[in-house]
Amino acid sequence: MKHAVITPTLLVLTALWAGCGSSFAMSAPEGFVELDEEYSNYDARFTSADGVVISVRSIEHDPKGDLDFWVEAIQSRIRMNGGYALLETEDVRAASGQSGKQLRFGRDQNGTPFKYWVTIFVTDAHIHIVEAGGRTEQFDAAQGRVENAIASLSIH
Amino acid sequence: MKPEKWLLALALGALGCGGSSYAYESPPSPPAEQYARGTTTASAEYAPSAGGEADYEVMAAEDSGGGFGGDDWDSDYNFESEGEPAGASAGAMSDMLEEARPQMANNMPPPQQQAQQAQPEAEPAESTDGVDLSGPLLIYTARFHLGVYEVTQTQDAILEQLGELDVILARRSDTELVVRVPAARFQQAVDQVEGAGDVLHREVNAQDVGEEFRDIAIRLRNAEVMRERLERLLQRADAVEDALAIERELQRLTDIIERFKGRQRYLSDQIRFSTITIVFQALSTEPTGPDGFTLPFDWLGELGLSNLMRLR
Repeated sequence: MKHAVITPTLLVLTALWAGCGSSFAMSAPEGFVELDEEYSNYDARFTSADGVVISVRSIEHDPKGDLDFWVEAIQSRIRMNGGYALLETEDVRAASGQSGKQLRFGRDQNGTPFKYWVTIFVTDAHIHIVEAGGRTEQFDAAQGRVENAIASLSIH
Repeated sequence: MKPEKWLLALALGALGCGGSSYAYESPPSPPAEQYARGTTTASAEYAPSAGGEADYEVMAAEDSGGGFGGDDWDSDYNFESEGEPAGASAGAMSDMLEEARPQMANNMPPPQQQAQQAQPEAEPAESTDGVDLSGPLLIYTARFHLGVYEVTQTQDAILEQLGELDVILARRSDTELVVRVPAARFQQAVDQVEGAGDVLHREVNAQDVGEEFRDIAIRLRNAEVMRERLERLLQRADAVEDALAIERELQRLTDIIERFKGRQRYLSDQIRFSTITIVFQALSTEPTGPDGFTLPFDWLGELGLSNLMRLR
């Protein structure tokens, strides 16, 4: 797959991955750094200094399912097995025009509240998952930048 | 037969559960008739035998298992005497009691059968221990699993909302909140909890304890009447052995009465106040979902904060 990360200042294309034919570009949130994901399951991941993390991954869309199917599958997995509370559900749109769904969860870990967002876009060839999470206090402070980054996602 | 023995036999008959029977081969005096003493009914059937003698059977009128009862209570006294000697020995009553005791535990009919045999003479009072007996007696319970987010704040919010419904906080921990709410406001409380967070699982139960409750009320009343009779009998006992035997029965009866009262208080409390348990805990940490299936997409299992935020 190919992906491009557009930094707010340089707007340069980073590594393009060949193989599964997917490509996307996303603006890195201001104040975040991109991590090396060569050996991970993420296609791109960014973190702030205080622990708010955003990741993107593209998954081959096989077997085929519509957006509702994948939203339900993810929601069930997160809520029922993970114990997360579903706080909100938002309709979102990628910069490239695809409609998606954003599930906004919350969960306490060791008494500390965390927020965790999962945004899903489904195309014929790929499922694009954008995850964002962090401690509630830090996440709320970075929420605008997180939303902007997700809205900047361009799927090709 | 000496009057004391008759009285004791009747008392034991009413105490026994599940068709306690007393068979006397000698003709009773008075003969077949129905006895109604106090609030307890003991029915008597008289059937003359060929030899001019009669089998006389006294059966406990009110009895049912109903899920509560013990060996001491569920008894079956079965006496077969050779007739009533004119001058019964002073220890006759003691002998009867001692002979009867080992049989008590072994002849207990199953609860269902006991229930069928129950023939209460009179219905319990309209209200017992603050519980209205005129309608169904239900114990309501509800259990919720909520998503684990801002648990302390959510618990505070729930308690604040439920405070308007006169709830009682029964237990609170990091992962659980248990409240007791007046039964009349149970549904309101359930609705409020539903809106307090992300409900992952809910379970609402209504347990009908009417049969058990009414059964206990009847048996309690019978036991109290029997105790009064035994106390009167004790006053008339001449022999020390008789007095000791009766006192043992009184002690046993008192224990039974206290157990009935305890159970009655517990049921009354459960009926009047419903219990709502709110759990803040993941239903499962296993890869298999609570519905017993796992979708064949490994990447679903990789979602979550633990992977996302593991930056090394």
